[in-house]
Amino acid sequence: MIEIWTQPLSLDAAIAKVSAPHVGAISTFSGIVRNHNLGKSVRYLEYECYAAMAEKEMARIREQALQQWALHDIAIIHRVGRLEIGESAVVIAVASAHREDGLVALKYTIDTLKATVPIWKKEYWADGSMWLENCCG
Amino acid sequence: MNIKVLVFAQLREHFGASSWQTELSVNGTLQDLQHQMIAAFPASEAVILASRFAVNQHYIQDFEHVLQASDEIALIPPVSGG
Repeated sequence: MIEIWTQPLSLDAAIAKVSAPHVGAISTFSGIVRNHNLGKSVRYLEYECYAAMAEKEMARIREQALQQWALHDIAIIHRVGRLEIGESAVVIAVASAHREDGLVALKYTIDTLKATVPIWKKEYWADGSMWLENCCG
Repeated sequence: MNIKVLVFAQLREHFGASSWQTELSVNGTLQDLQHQMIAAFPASEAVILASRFAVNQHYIQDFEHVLQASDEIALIPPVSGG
């Protein structure tokens, strides 16, 4: 499952998509909008995406992870639009028979997503705003 | 041939629109397109040089890649998803 939502994300929705009787581990990640960055107090974020390519890139990351590790399934949901402090920008659920493959694949999925998927966030402070750039990509 | 380039985030703001059109010679490359974009928006040179091109929704690293009029071309500034 690869989706881009404009409404608040649900980790439960991602978990439900990857659940199955033979799954022994569901490893999850939720990326949250925090109230500070680079010494600035953050009011809110705005995300935009190149939707068609973002979906393709996330699907490619999912396929690569499914080939590389012993997994049952991966769900990725990313949100766009205005996000308030404490809201989730991305949720990932990785289902596997055993935890080791799931945890490694989870880290690969979020790290690769942050480096390659065409999604951007703009940070708004009390006195200005700035487009961000993920480090270490 | 007429080429349309999709732009996003700070590039969209710099360009004042979500796409930009230009005339490129037949057999024009991504390198040619990049040069034209910098000539048109010299104040955006740094972010243009830091951006990656995507053709038909795939990143293309080879600047000698030859473009077609039917291609969907995008200039992708440094991403910040997640």
